[in-house]
Amino acid sequence: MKKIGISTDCVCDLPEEFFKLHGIEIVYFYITTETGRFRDGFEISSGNIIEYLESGGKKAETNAPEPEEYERFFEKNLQKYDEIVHISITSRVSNSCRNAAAALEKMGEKGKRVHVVDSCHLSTGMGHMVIRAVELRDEGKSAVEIADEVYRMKDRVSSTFITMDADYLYRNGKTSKFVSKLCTTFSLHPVLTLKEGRITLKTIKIGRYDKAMLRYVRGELRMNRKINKKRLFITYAGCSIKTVSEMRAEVERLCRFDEIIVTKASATVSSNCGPGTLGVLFVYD
Amino acid sequence: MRYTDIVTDSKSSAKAAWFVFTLCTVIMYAMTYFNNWAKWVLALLTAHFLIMTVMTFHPKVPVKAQSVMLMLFSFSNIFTCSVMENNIYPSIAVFISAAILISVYKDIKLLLVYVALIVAGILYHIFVLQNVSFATMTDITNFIVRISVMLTAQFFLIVYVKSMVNYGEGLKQSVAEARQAERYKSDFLANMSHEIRTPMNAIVGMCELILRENGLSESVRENCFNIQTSGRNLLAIINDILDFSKIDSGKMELIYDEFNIASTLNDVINMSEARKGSKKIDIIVNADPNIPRGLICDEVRLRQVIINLMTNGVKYTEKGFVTLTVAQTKQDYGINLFVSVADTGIGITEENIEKLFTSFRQVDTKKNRSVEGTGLGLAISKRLITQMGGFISVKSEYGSGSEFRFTIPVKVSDERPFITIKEHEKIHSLGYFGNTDRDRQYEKLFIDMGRELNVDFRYTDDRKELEKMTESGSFTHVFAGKEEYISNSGFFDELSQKTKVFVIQDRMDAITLPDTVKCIYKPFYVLSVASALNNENIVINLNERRGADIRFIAPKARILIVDDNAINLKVAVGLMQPYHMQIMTAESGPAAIKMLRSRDIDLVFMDHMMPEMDGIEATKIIRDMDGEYYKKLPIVALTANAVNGVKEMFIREGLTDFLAKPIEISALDRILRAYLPREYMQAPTGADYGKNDRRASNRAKSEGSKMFDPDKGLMYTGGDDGVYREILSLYVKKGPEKIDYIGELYDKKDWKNYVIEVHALKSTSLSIGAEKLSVIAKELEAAGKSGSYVTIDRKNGAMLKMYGDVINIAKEYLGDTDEELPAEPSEEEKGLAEVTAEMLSELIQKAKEACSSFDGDAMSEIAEKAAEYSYNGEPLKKCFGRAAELAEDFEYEAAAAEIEKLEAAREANV
Repeated sequence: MKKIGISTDCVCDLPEEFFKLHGIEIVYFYITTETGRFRDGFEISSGNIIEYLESGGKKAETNAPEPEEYERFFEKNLQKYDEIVHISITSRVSNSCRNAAAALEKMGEKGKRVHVVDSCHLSTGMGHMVIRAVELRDEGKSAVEIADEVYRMKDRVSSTFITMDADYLYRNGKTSKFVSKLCTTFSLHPVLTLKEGRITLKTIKIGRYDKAMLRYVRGELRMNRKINKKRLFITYAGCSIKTVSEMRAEVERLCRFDEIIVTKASATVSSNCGPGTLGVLFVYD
Repeated sequence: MRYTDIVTDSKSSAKAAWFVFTLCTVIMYAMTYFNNWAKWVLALLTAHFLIMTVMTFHPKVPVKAQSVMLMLFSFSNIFTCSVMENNIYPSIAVFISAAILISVYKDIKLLLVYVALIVAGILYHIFVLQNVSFATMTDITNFIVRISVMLTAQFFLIVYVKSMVNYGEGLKQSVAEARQAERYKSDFLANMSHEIRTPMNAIVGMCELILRENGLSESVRENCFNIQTSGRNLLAIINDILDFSKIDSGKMELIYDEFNIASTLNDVINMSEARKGSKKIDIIVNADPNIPRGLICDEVRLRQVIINLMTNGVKYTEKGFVTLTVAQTKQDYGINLFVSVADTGIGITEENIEKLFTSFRQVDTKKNRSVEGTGLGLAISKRLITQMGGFISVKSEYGSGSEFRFTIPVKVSDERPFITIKEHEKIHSLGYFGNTDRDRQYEKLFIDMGRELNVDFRYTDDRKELEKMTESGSFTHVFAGKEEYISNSGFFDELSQKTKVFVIQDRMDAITLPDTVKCIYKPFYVLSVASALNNENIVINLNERRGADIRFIAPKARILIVDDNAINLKVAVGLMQPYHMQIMTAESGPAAIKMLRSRDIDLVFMDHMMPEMDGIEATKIIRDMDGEYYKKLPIVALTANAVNGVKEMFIREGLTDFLAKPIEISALDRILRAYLPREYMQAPTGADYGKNDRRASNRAKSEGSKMFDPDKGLMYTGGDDGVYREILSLYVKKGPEKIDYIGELYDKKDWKNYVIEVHALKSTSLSIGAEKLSVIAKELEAAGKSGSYVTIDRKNGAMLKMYGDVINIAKEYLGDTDEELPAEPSEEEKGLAEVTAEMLSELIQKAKEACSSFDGDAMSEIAEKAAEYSYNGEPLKKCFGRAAELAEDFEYEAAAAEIEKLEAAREANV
């Protein structure tokens, strides 16, 4: 039987212990600030980047690994595994998938042993797909079967986030300054969703942010009959433990999941959404 | 509200005002269209809107200009509307709305101008357009009511804006005052800390000098030790406050200079081992040997952060490990230096992690009541790392441990790795450790080291496999844990005949190894392994070490050790103590240069990496000084640099030789033999041998190590074996008397005096290395203080029994001799010059004067001087030392009597 390796980008926001426990290989994204270039999740955390930007830091560019780095990454892991299924962040927001594909081209025949899947999601939305890939690997499925099933799963994954305002979206060129100011002035809190790999505005919550967050959670889980109750992720950036606990309690009140996993967003995701961002991410049946 | 919020607030208001203005413009477009107003109105509205939009969103247009334009355009639009409608009244409500809009700028003058314009507009309607009717009383009332409402609304708006402006101003002023106060506070803390630090340094330093003196009474030694410990703690707190206030007030300047990470690691490890003390934890160091040799950073501050994290790790961990990982990733600008300190300690709750890096917070104070500290360490570390352009973070699982990690961007001045292995392709190493958690850590470490050093490193925890693997004789080096060696000593001893065998063990708990088996002291890490593989003669076994201890002594040799790190100095001084040399220390290059002016130093050990002036610079200055002495003075570099060719580099730079850190006795012995004048070297006497022979210590430890650990006692008494044995003999001598006395107090239920006695027992037992007895005494002291006499009843007997046992073991350790003071003068004492009659008279006279004027200091000085001579072959130190000791205890009469005895003896001789 072939030894299948599962790899992914660090922005899937799964806990570090999870990678170790399930033997998932990860490739790091980079954050470049005025002072240096840091590996996301290893050298710089979500809290670090938010604090840096909040205290006046201007530059925080997020970069996917270059094709050469993917090449090295795959080469190294192909020494351990016969085939690799690599689940990549949505190609609509990052070059990661393209760079990985470019690396495979360079690798020639060897590259055919790696299957890159464009998750069309990010954060733990993508994390759900990684976990599924691990389950399929453990069930003894082939690399192609894993890649196919994980890719088909993308339409059933719900990746949504509520952000405190649109300031960080504006800073990263995802929206205009006007929209950002409008949100700040009138206490508008955008709820973003991943639709066909693109980040789009799902709805807007108005008013106090703590109440808006609760309304967001209720809104997301209102169709709870169709939701797969196996696992739900609460992923956040720059929220207090108290807020996260309240949201978790609300999720538990609304719907009974086998497992609710609270994770911190990666620095890449955090630098794009800003402090106060929180998402409930799950899979539909 | 932050100051920046107040500033940016007006900009947000401008955007909001623009938004409302746009809505009004749209409404007016509709009115123009539906009411068939003149076409120029559309043009006017469009022009106003465009100008307003540009002004609002152009970053260079000041908010003030925007506000004026908004006011003018709003008025113009509404006035146009009223003119078109030929009626002022419908516009009055809109005027009020616009005033509300304008009020977002919080500008009173603007509002007043606006009111004036409205009044002008109304007058225009009355007198020019003449469309306001005053024909009837109703018309007049109607006019007055509407205008009054409008003016009243404007009035309230002005009052409101004024109060908002005042509030804002007040807020700004409060922020400014708060900032000023913060600056004053930081300045005050900085000044105060500096002022306290100077005398504190003197206190700690003087205590050190006192503790080094021989012949101190037990109580003086104990008090002095306590003063020194408290002084050091206070000094550490003050240094923290000083650093914090410097960072807080922006006065902390980083000094970027070239350094080698090997030196930093060595310092960090020494400090951490010292802090670890008797804790049963392992310090594991995993450093990437490929880190470039020359890095540019503020090494002092980097070391401070790592030591702080390591200290925290050691402080909060009772069992398990504290793992230091140092790694790197190549970047365009140099490297990212990654440091992680992971422990298996108490961990931190998620709530506390949020507060962790804030100032003056020591998390979970209830659980950590026993842990000292200001709570400033992490706040300082964080700020330093931020200032270096890096990031620090923590991960923790409550109850399981924590991991602090930071990354800083560092420039590189020398790309070559800081550790290299000679002919690495010819080395084949095998590790043999057990299968405990600790061993698994070593296994990982071992494999990582092999990969990073590009050396064939293999590992096994199976004895049979070990035998099989070593059968072929293909392994050049075999590393084994202490326990694994003990269980298979026959096998390893035989193996060591054909291959190099290294045993990894704790310095404090080392076993004797045969000559062929080498020893590596923990922490087992890449620097010590590299030294072993490079065969640099710095790793030797304990037997060689003991042999080296007693090969010679050199009481006349004057040695200067220069190192900026106090612990390193202490370690070096401790290692050189057995040679009976006169050791001086300096904490910086300039201080060393100053000390060398006296030209009486025979050998200098110079640390390579020091802030401000490094060892090489200091050596160059020394070599350039006038006189042949400075050209020929042997200066030996102390370095943690484990790279081939380092010796040549130092010689090129003017140094004479080099001694690798961690210092090993055999290497030190070689250096001393090579550079000390031959005439200074003497064969050690039996007494010297006894003083330095740790075999006695090991014997005592093996039999009663649970109760009595001489190594710890030696550590607590400053590392001087002679001093320690002196204290121990006092302890043994007074012991039986004390046991009776404590028993008596217990029988009498005299708790007050009982507490005093057990308190003394607690500290004296600790200082001789009887920790367990000290703990029980501490418990009974607390019980006595709190009135918990049941505890005393339960444990007093056990304590007294243990006290007796400790005395017996200590007696055995002392070699069954009553060692108050050596009965026979030592070799050193034998070499003392015979005092002249004049000098003796002078000394006696001065001593008598000192006693009559109750001047203890003068008596000590005289005793110090007298110690250089002997009288009729007897060292004068005995008599004068006793007198000085008595004077120190304010027993001046008894001191004078001692001197008089000597005087009488002299007269009898005459």
